[in-house]
Amino acid sequence: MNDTQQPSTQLFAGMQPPGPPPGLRPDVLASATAALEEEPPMDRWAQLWHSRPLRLAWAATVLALVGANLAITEAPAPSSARAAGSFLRSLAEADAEVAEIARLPRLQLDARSLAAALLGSPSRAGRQATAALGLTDHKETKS
Amino acid sequence: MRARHANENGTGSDKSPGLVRLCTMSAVAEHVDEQASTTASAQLGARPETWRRLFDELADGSHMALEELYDLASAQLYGLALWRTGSPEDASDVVHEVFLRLAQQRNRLSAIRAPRSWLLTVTHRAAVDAARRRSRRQSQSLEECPFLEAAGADSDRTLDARRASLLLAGLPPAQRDVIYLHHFLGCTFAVIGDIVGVPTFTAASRYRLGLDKLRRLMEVGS
Repeated sequence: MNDTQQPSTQLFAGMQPPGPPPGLRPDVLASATAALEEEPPMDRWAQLWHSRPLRLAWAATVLALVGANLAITEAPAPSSARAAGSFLRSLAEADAEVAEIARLPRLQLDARSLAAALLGSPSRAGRQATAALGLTDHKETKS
Repeated sequence: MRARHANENGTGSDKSPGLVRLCTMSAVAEHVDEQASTTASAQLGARPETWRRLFDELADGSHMALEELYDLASAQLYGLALWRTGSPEDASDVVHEVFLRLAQQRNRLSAIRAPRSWLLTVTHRAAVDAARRRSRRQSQSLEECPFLEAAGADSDRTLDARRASLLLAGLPPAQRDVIYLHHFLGCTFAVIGDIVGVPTFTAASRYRLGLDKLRRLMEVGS
């Protein structure tokens, strides 16, 4: 395995990447020092806190949202909704067929729920499934 | 040493054979380069406390810390930018940009956990952007770029450095980054993964593929 590494290590032996040019140091330090003396830029929350217009806009937005929420909560139901409700009630009273359609029948009238079926199962697997579902019969647990 | 590196790279008995092979390869690569990495770290003299102290002082607005940080980091950052962009001018611009950003964002420096990795990450991103801009401007050949130079005034080594630079120009930039960070800066593959934004195994495989390609290029050249 070392053989595969030797060419590259031999290749890099006695060599190094070049350093930055000497003229770069004063340029970089001058501009960085100038930036260092400036006031550091504020983040967004600090900008929001220190700017009067932004603070006012924020407060106005909150007030508008609260006002809109109160207005929606306290407002009476619109007349069109009331009219629609009474129309449906009268239609259901007048036509029994419509009322029957609105009340969906069960597909199988003698169907039992899953929990009831499992609780009533005499088999061991059924009891285990009941226990796994957390539907253990209290009487059985006590016994 | 090998076991430590294997653990760092996540080698375990529950891994797939291909993954184990990759981890073993990266562990061996780290083992072989142990001496080089140790030398690089010693030359850098960059203990984490030093970086932390400089960042804290810079956050307080210290000019001395800025100069000290430049002396400590500029060669590493310039090298990374040069190996990524393949252009000394772009590398200088990248170092300039990074230090400017460092000064502008000094109120955030105290919160940075790993200052050196953060600097290398910022430099890598800036270098990627610079290389992208340059590739849009013009298709400049990398063959003229001096990726390496002789450590002394040995003329043979100067020729070797020229030859090695030519070979490195034939590598994809992503593989060059990893070779530079691992071989010359002594970064672990986990740290390299954080810097270049790839998983640890990807960083290790890029290193391995880069070395393999270098070896093939050398064989073709000889």
